[in-house]
Amino acid sequence: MKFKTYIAVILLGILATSCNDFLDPEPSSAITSNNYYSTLAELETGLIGAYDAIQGVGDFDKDVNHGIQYEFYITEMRSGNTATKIADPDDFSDAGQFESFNVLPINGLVANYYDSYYEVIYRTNVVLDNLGNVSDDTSMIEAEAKFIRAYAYFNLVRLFGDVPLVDHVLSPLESDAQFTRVDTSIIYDLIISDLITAEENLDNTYKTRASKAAAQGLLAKVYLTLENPEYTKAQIMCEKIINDGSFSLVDFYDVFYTELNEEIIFAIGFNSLNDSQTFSSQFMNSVGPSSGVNYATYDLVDDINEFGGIRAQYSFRQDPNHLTSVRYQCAKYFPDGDDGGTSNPHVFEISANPRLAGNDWIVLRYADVLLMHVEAIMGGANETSAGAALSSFQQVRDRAGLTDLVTEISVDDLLMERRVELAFENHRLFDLIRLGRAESVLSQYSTANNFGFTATDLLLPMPQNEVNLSDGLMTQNPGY
Amino acid sequence: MKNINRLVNFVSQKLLAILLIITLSITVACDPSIDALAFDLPEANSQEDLTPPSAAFSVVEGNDYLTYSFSNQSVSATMYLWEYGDGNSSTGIDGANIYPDEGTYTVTLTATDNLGVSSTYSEEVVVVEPEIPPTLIPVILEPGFDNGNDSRDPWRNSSLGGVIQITGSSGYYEGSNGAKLPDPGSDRIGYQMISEFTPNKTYSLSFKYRFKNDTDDNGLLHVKMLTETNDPADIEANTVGSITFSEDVAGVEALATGTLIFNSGANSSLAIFFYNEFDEAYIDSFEIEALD
Repeated sequence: MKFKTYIAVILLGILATSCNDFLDPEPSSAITSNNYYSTLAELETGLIGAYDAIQGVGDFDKDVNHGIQYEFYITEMRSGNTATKIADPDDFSDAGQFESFNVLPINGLVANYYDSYYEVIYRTNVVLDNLGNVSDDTSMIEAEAKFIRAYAYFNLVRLFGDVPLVDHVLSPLESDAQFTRVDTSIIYDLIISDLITAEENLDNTYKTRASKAAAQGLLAKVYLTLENPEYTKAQIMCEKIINDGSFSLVDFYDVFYTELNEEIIFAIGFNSLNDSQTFSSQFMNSVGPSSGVNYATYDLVDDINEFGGIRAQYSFRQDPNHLTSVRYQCAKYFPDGDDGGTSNPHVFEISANPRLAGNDWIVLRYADVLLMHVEAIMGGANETSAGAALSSFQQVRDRAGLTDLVTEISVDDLLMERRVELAFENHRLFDLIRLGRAESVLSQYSTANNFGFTATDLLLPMPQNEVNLSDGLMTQNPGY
Repeated sequence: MKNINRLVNFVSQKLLAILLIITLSITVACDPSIDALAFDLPEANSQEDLTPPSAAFSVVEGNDYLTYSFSNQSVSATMYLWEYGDGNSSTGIDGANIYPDEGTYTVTLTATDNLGVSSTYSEEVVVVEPEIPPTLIPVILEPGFDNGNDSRDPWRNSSLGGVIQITGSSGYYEGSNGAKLPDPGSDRIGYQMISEFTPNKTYSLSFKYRFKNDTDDNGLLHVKMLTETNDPADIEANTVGSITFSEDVAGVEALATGTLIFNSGANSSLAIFFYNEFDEAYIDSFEIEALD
């Protein structure tokens, strides 16, 4: 009897002590976010994940993030450059709201972009929060993650104004940080400090990943965009890229159809079929699920014809399949370079599947930097005739076959050059705002077309979904 | 059993009484006859304006200094009245005005909602023709080397070379002294950071110089404008403007005038840097002026 008691006591003791480990298991065959990021290579996979979030998913599912593939809706189609194929200001479909400046807070494309870019920020924060787990030198990884984070915030802050500032992985209790809109100047402080870290630590190895030149170019644009622009700092950044000598202007057609050419500074890479994008098919006539979006407005076509030089033939073409009216479609991103011919429906001979096209999305290219150089030297004045500015401007025009000598550049000249050079590349709206012409140009365009532009349309609405979830913390932008 | 019956009786009486009260109160409260509403004013049950308008706008300067546009940031309003302070007014959502002249104008926006509740917001607009800021002229310390050996101090940079000598040899300076770059081998230089430059302006740096025929070689004098550096290897990359004079062209008889024209580029400060090669040279009387 006594013996049994002993056994019972010992068993109980064993059970009690062994329970410690038993209840707190460390899975040895599974990867968790707690034990994963322990080497440089593992951190790098986290970075690739952040690029993946920028790419977004290459399908048309409304419930998944499409990242940069949907950017044209909320930038180019809101700038007077492009519209849906059949212009219909009464169209209450999500895509139709942009061209007429009647965007609703419930617009799904706006919400998709917002979600996508906070997903990008989340993934970079995961990498940054885990830097301490690796004893090797993580400065390159840190620089790259900060570049991506700054890139994402720069887009969000220009599109939405004040946005929530998330600079670490949020715990479930930090709902305040998730929904409290923070002043743009504070967001810009983070962007600049992140980009300076990136500029100091990166090199120019990649074009579809962060690089020193990409950080310099983005920093230049940030300096030009600030409420009180830092023109000299922007000029220095542009000149670092120009003097580096690794970048140059290439044949205008090759900019878009020879990937990673010498003009490209930073692009979001896609590959046909397996890692592909959908915008190329959406820009065409009924190749994607829409009948056609991001079609050139007559306003844009007129300007490219008048001021674009040889860029006209490579920037747009008349839609061969749309016969009831004359409409022009973007020619810079034909699926894998295949324009589908003139048959109706299109027949694609090069592209394996135009809905799964591999064209990269160009974020930053050398011509943009040259024109930013002009803008920096102009320094907020109405014109410039400084030699360095003229030289940069002339290079861009020479490549377009416009070799007449420029002796003075006004703000409006610069805006026009940027419009015809960078059409369809999601720059126009930001250029108009940055150079102080958005109100006048867009209200004139809106009146001529019977659209509803008001100054508050320069910012998108905060997604209604976020406002609802915020329990009163998140305010809506004026005008929505 | 008796007790239970008494309890049942008691409870059912109470219940009946409560039911009666409820029924009565419902009938009275819901009396739909006009009489019950006879003394209600038409607006007595209407809600107050829970989302009153709040007026706000931001000012955007136009293409020229007299043209302004105003971006309406009001919330919960449907009608707007803009008064621009110069007698002009408008009723569109966004405002725009061309002012007749310079002056301070008070712009007032009255935002009204459909219930007639309104809110006003005013902001002063100062219309002034922007002055073209004058091009800054940086200050050169000891430009004429006229304080004896003390005038060498602003021109020192021991990382780039030895310091200049000061000469009093007649014909080789203006004022009371000049700078001397003796025969090659001593590797002397002058270097001085100067500021403030206005970025992207053209400047002219002028000075006096003279060669001395001390060696058989053809002397050279280099004058450069550099961005700041302490490393001889960086000099070429940091050069913004540069000019070289040679003994065979300039001669050795008298002081000559040299001029270096350069653009300040993206810099607010730059260094004057000069040195000689192959023969003795003298330099004096630096002056800088803006050309645009």
